[in-house]
Amino acid sequence: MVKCRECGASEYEGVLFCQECGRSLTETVNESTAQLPFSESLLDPDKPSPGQNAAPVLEAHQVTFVIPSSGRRVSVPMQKEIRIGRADPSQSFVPELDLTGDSGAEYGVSRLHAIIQSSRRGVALLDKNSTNGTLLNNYRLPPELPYPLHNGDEVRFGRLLVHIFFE
Amino acid sequence: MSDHPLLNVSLRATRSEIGALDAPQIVYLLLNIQAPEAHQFERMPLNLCLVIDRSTSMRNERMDRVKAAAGLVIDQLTNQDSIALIAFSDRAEVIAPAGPPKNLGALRTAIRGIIPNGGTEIYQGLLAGANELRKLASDRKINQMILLTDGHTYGDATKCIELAEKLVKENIGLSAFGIGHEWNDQFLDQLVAPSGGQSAYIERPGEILRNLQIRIQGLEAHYAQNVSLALQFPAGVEIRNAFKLSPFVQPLVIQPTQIKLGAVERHTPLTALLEFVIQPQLPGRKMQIPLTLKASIPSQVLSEHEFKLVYELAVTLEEPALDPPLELVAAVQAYNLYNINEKVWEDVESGHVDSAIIRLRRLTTRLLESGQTELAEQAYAETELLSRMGSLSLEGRKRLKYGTRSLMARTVKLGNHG
Repeated sequence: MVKCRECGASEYEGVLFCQECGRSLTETVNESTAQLPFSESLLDPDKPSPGQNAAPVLEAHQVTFVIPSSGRRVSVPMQKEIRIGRADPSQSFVPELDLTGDSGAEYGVSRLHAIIQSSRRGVALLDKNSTNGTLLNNYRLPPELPYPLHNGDEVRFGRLLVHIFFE
Repeated sequence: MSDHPLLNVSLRATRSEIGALDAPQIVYLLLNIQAPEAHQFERMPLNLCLVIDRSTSMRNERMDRVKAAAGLVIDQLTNQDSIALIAFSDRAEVIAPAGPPKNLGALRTAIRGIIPNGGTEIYQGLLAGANELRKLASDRKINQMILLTDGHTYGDATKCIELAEKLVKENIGLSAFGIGHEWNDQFLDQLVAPSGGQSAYIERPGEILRNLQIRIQGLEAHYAQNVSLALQFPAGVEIRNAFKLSPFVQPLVIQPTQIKLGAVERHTPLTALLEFVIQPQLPGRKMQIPLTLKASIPSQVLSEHEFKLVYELAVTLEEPALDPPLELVAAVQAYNLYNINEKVWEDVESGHVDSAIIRLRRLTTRLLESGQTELAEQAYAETELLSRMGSLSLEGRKRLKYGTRSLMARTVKLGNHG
């Protein structure tokens, strides 16, 4: 039997994708699922990645983070700044999106890893010079530069995958 | 590839070796059946019957579009074809009896006269349609009933399926289109399964004509029909899932002795994804898995002609090689997404809402990862609805079901381009 590394389900040898969560079960088959063979992205490699197809988010009252590895979903009211990282009790620091419980340390999430800024120009993501960096739709963000966000964007804080939705 | 003069059949498998394990193993096969390129094609006459739901819910744009589509379909037919029109609600009415489309004016007048009113009893419509088709049915024609409905049938679903099973023995196929989102998708899948026909979702009335035209063009291009795969495998080998990917995407029903695959069109291959379970085998063995197909080719006056090929699978003590072709991986992946979505609905129906929410979240993630933003947004919206209300929207269910199904069709295109 093969065990899914994401959800722990057991499948027969030869099953290519976990029937519970859809994750690839074979090393040779698309470890990076961002380029699944049937996706439009692969058929047209120049097409921007998923979230960039939509218009940038200009205004939102709530942002929801979906963390596939832990199955957690966190909704945070939109504010001027939403901090993303890991809590540090010794400094009384608790970011609005605290990824400690999502194995943030193992995935390489810094204490203050990134922030989401809301301004008149829209909603943007900014890497706070984190140790392991931030990837927005597989594009590594230069530190301290705001990048506009889109509904459904895929972000990796270190190696931790998070999907971002706006309402 | 096995080249038969009348049909080209080929196979692709995820593996040619399995390990000598003490647990079952899975192998996926992509079966491709194609009309030979050089073959001289003869268009078979169509013997068609449109069975139109005229229940009250069909009024306004839906019925207007159905009428317009029916009129244009009749225009496409030749005098060698025949057409019958049935309208039904809680009873059926023969709008035009089976015959060649000679008097177009009378047919158009008959179509214009359909007035929506009443409930939905599909069996009444199908039975009247069957009786009309039988009048002119022949093995040298493509005999097909096309159902257009927007609602649930009440109390007669079993009778409908029994009739569809009877019709296939009379060489009459059935396709069904659900308009809007209030019809029963599982029922329509079951209804078309005996003949390997198509059931499809028409979300907006504006799409009726296109769907109907594509279906009729497909029927006109029929080269081989009543294609079936015999389930005669060595001990310890069985198919646990089967899905047609081309010429249209359709779940296939595994019957006790065969799988009805449908028809091979002139330029479009019939492609099916087969999931085999192989029980533990002794090492060193080279398994021979026969795939026996039967098909009728009306232009060659061939009925139930047999085509055979063999899939070889070695059982090894070494780590088995795994290098699946890209289009097969893509097809399995898309099939997997479709299945995850189906399980969401099963969970909801059996009251396991928490489990359904988890599945939908996972589906959302996978859809996003694969670039299917629109479907992912729908899955996300349904997750929210499920969390708040404990149920899914009918519209969302249809969009996700047929949206994930359509991903499988794209994988065939990927293979063709490659």
